[in-house]
Amino acid sequence: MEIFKIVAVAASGTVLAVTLKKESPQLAMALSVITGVVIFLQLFGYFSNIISQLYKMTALSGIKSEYVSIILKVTGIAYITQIGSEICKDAGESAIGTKIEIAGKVLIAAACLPLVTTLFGTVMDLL
Amino acid sequence: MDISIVFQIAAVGILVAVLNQVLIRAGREEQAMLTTLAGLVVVLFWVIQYINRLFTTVQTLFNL
Repeated sequence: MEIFKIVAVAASGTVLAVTLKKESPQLAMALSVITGVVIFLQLFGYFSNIISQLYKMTALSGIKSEYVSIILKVTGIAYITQIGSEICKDAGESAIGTKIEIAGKVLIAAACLPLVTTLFGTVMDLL
Repeated sequence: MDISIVFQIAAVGILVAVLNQVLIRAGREEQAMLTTLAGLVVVLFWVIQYINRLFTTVQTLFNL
């Protein structure tokens, strides 16, 4: 099963990062970043299946496809924001980490703006 | 599942640490500092490559 490989990589990466922590903290941090990236690169096969299935379902159910693309965009932004802020917090720079999270929230809000305006429009029509 | 990169970085890290100690014992602190920097640059180069791959994958996947 895939999860065993992922946990094996994570465990070995963590052990190596801890051993390197004393000599050179920078390399330990680089190692943890690389372990995270390798694990996430494994997941994209499954992600693309999920997304293509999502598009098929929306095509069948008649929902407008730009709503789904907004959902996917927001998921992607949240995904990258999570990676970035965790890396910074792991290295001890929690201030930078929270800045990245704030930026991610603002970008997500910006991405959702058209959705909110259409919702507002429909509500106003109802009244 | 290319986990070889994880072990490559660990190898560079340990090598740099050992070299550092040897050079410090031999009284050449400057070279020790330089080898540490060289190791760091090599590792950063790899890290940048992998992060670039991750970001382009996410970009194509979520069409950001």
